[in-house]
Amino acid sequence: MSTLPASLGAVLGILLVFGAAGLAGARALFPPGRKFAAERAGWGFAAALSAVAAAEAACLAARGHPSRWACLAALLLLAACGLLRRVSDRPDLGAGKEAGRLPGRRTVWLSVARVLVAIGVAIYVLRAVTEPMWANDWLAIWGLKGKTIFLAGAYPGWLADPVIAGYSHPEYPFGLPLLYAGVATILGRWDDHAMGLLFPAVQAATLMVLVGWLRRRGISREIAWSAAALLALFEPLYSGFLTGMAEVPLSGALLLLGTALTDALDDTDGGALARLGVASLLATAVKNEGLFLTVVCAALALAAARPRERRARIAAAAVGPALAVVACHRWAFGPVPLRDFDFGLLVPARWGDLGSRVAEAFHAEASLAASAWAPVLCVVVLVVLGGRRPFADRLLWLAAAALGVYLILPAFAIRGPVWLAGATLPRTAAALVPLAAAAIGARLNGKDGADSSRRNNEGA
Amino acid sequence: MRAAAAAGATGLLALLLLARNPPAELVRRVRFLRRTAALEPARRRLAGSSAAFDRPLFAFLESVRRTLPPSAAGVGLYVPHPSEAALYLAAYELAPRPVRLAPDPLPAGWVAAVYGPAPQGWTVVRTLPGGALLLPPAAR
Repeated sequence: MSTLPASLGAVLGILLVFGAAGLAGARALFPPGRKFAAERAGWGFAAALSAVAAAEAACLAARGHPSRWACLAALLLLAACGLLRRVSDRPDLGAGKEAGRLPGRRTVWLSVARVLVAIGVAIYVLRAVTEPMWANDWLAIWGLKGKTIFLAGAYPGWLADPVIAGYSHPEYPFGLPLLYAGVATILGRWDDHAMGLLFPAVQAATLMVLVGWLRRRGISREIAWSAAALLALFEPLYSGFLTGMAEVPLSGALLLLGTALTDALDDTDGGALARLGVASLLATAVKNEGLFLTVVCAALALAAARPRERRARIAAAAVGPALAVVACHRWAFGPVPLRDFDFGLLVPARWGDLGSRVAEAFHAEASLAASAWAPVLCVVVLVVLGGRRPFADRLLWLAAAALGVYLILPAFAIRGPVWLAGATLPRTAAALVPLAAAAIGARLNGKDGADSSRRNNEGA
Repeated sequence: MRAAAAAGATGLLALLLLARNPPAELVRRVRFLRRTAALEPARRRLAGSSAAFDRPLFAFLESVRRTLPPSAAGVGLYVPHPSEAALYLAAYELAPRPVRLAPDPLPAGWVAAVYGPAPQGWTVVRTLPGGALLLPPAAR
């Protein structure tokens, strides 16, 4: 029998090992220097999680029983990458002077923002570990697959059988279940309570990337930490309900994807393209929405990259690893259709039906937005107040593209538009918030921080 | 002016988000943690949200998990009021074995976990709190 404090201690130790290996490995993604330190920590943690999931996948593919030594070897390999690969900086870009002070006493605002970040993380720790992960999607999808893989030491065929386990969505990517199985392999047992600690750790990594990227892009401390404070307190994402599900890791992966894309387009440093590739892999391995956004990234690259010769390279970095994840899934499990949607509605003969379903979906979504009118209004005000900043606007476009698709998709839901809008829109939209926070924060610096931002924009 | 408006909107948004964390809820969580932290994992799940819709069902499933014959290839779950919630909880609890809700017929090598009164003519493999592990007539 294991008590919770002992289990939490063990998982915390594992997370610290992930952090250390990731921090070492992230040297392969960022140039040396303090201005990249926070991002290195956040990206490194994400890379460590993917290394453990990859080790688990490799063991399963080789028909071997996953072992903790394989996971630890993957972490060592990750750390070694940081020693072997050097990344060059472009000091003329992305290192703007601090500007854009908010009114009032700077230190007070900054201190309050930092305290709010700490409060947000502490509250999420409490929510994540109050009880074993419990949401329906944890039991039916993510936790079920992870627990099955860990206890069976293999991927049993019934998980892909639509009659037995269709509800667990065999078409969903396997990154997260593999990660859970990997953590359990290292821990030596399936502990669905202490493993909840992974989620505040992902939140912390996301916040580090957010603050680090904004600061590196010349955004003031006040704005960077304010964006982090609002994100840390964002309970619709960092909730007990979503702990165990894909939205929290996806939200972090989408932030990595967006910031890497805009860095690659501006050619801020020698690691941007590699980061874009890593983020593409992460986002696609977590959820199908990630695949869609990698395609949007590739389209943005093809439309916006300068000089033109770089377009293909950036687009390939955005979509190549994503396609590799899709190919691996297809190789392992065969073609699996999207189970929740009826895309037969796109046939011209059914356009009338589709129109009425779109109207039904929009009506349900308007009711949802109306119930949260005050925070939505605050966000709209912040977007409107921001200045045009190409490197930030791209993130806003990415988030808007995803939101647009999320708003339309319920019209295709087999269980009806109202059901899908109510059941998934709030959480899928919440997963876009880190991306939106980075964009809005960077745009708010636009007016007062023009000097520091000009060089960033020139790169676009 | 712009900066002041941005600061105002940021401050208001922070207050709105903070308001989503009522102290009463946080205190309740701390108390729940204190009360359950020393319990074994299954008892913590029994006390938590995933079993809240039918705690005796979870106790039954946990008994099934502990007593399932190693040879069982899967579990057919028979409950008086079949629901997605019951299926998901059973599938998760009994993993890595597959679970189906009231399959007809029960696949070869599977056992039936019947929550509630046992059907006539089935062989009782083991009696459990709230139900039993059974084999249907054809599987004998």
